[in-house]
Amino acid sequence: MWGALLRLGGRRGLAGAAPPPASPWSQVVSEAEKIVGYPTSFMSLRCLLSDELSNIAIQVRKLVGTKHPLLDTARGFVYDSRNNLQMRGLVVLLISKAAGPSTAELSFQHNMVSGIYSSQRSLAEITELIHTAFLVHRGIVNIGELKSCDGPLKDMQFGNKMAVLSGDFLLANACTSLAQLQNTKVVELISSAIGDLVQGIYYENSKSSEENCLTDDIGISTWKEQVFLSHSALLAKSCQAAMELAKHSAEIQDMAFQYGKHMSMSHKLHSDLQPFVKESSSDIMAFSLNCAPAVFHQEFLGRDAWIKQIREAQGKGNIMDYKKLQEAIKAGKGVTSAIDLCRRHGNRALAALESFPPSEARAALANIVYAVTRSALEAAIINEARSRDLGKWTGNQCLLIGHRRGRRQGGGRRFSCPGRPGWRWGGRRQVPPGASVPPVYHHEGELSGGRSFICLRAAGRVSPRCFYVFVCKITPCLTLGLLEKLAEKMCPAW
Amino acid sequence: MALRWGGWWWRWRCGASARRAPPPLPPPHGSVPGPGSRSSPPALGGAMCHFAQRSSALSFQKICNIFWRFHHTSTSQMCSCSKTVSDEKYQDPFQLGRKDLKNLYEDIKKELLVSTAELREMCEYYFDGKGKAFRPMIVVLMARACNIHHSNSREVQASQRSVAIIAEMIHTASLVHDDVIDDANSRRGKMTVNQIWGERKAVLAGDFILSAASLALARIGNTTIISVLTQVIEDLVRGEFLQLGSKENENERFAHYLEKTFKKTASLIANSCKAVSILGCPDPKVHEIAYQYGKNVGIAFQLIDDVLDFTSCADRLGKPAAADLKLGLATGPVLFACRQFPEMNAMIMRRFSKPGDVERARKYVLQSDGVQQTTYLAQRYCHEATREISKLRPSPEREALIQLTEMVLMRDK
Repeated sequence: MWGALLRLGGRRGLAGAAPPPASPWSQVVSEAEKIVGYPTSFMSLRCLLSDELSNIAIQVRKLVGTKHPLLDTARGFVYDSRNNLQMRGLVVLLISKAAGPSTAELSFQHNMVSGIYSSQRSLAEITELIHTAFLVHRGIVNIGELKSCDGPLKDMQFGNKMAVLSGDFLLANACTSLAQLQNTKVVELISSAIGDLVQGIYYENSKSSEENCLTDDIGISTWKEQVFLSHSALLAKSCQAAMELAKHSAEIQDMAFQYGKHMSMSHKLHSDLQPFVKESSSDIMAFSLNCAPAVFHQEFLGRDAWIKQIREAQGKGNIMDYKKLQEAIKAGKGVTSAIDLCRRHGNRALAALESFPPSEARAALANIVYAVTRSALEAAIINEARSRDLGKWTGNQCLLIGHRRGRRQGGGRRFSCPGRPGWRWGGRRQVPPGASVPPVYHHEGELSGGRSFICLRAAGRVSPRCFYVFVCKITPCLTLGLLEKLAEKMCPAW
Repeated sequence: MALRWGGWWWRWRCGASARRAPPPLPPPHGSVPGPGSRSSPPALGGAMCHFAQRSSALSFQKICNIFWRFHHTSTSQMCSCSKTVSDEKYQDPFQLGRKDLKNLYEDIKKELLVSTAELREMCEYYFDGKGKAFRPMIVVLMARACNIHHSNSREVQASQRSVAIIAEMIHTASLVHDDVIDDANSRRGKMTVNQIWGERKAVLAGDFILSAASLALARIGNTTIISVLTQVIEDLVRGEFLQLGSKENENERFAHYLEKTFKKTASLIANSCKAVSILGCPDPKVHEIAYQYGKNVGIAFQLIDDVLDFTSCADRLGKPAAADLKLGLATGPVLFACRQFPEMNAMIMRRFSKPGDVERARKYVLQSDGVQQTTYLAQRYCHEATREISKLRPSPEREALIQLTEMVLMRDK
């Protein structure tokens, strides 16, 4: 059995796309920015320096000290722009570069800077403008629902006025730039993306405005539809539009769409999962009761039981005990299912990328997916290890992650991996007598003291898809990067 | 001085034209460099500076004199044009366009494809057939007039009808957002969307109508039309920004008011007229005629709207009277009244924010000739519109458009 694993592990992954050691998100982004030419400043200067926006900046200052959400949006815009605001534009640029010029458009190649058409750069900017406009419009408050603790009514009205105006201003700028692209198909795509976004946000709003202790009775398929509208449609359609601008074929356009869609779906799942997989249990993040793990949880549990759990967590005084609720969800299968779904979307995004020729830009796009799916896998392993109480296992027991499909291919056995159909946790096994723990086992300092694990990577054609993890004991600092480092060192020994 | 004013006047009028506008007709005052000499309009800030410089030398008195003089020169031209068609009978312009506008609201609702029942209800709320449909009417009449001018065909093309639909949708989307911005309670005799469903949803409904409009716009499949109508969206927002600020200097204030009026109201009519003329006729001269007609009618329309805010009662308007004052806005009648009652200056500057300001200002306006002056100004814009449209080949639709300018002046709601 271990021999078969070895053989699988020996195969090389996708050329050029072998995952680098797990890198923090910002590193993935800054490397990707280098590829597209220059550090991206998507909110065009034209827009930032305009009279209107500086007018708004002055007016927003008047809101300081009030509780209007526009203030937070503006703050996030200044301090958090790297992580949230520019990701969409960056992806549009990267996929433009990955696709390159189409054969039909070779004559226009001189228009390209760093392998990207200027129209595609505008499109990236438009995508960011639209995204930001809706960040602002999401923060409108309902005047009729205000309570006295929200501060003076006048402030909130003023905040609304500013939020509507600034959102409209960004949107109008996006429309103007869009018209300048002189491509009706692109205008159509992006307009429909705006419509999708509105519907998605509308749904979000109508949920949160209700009494926030109750969830909607939605299944995961409805959840997926809604998240597609609110989180994926804009990026998916922008990626497609970027292909249209370079006159790429319908197939390539569809692949770009698929990448944008699945990448952003896995992103959303990833962020929904954060409260459930974060290591520090001291501060419990409040989470939406319509996040993916909760929706899965409800699906497994049944609605009535779920409502009962919420009521129990709420206790007296209508204050939600999120820790209690979180434990309830963690005890069920919701978290695992959400992790699986996250990886499944990540893998579909990677599969869509295979239609593009290997390049730096394509590798960067893959890394953006890995940044999410890796941490999803880490979460999966930690979650599983925790639920099986691996800390109490003895040194010669292991956890198999992966599922043998039983079909022989090329002499080796194929194993399915987390997120793939038919995949399941392998359960506890005895370490085979011959497979002694290699020396590297105690090599890492933080792994000493009996709290350690070993893993073996069994790569399929796309290396990160298929993991075979052999965990002896869990360590608190278990990360996928560590797993892989170990796996690489161990492979020769096995 | 008159020449100087004339220069300013034409510069302003033409500078507001769309970015990629074809070179317009030479202005009647030959001494002015045509707007075509400016490759692209400067950013708004620049335009405003320019504005201020040109107009600061003029006193209000002189502005009015010049308006008068301008009026005189243009009416004489206009009369000569309209005589050629004097044998044609006046028709109800609304009758002529009615056939094309049948099912207008049904078709708009078809554009608003949305899965959520509540969102659909909100989006369709103002498309209940009770609006005046003033904009679609002008647009289809203009479409027919241009088609006849070019090819003697009276039929409205499908794409031209789409422009009428889009114009009404953009207009409605801006109404929904304006009501949130102004925290308005009633419009067209019913509660506003934000009153019923709350501000959050109302803003989204506005955004959705706008996205549906731009989807319909893209489906026309003509990039020029997209550019022309996108200009409207930008103008609407910029107009709303202009409304936020106020100017200290009297003359700047008037220029500011007119620019705001153009951007918030006239741009939509002007550019959708231009769009249908582009679809109906390849001649850039015709496009400029359509644009100028729409712009002048649009400004007149808004001036009368501002007058009605003082003279009409809430029942008739379907919204509260003196609403502009309550929002702190100094419209035409106020600006004219301020000439007679300089004590209003302070009120304008503090945007009628002190208790009693609104009532006092209203009283001053009704005592002054502000209402008449504004109506008079609106008349001149209508004459100018008539003069422009008279350059087209005679047709019942052209006469209807001329008559429509009269109706703009006569309307009481």
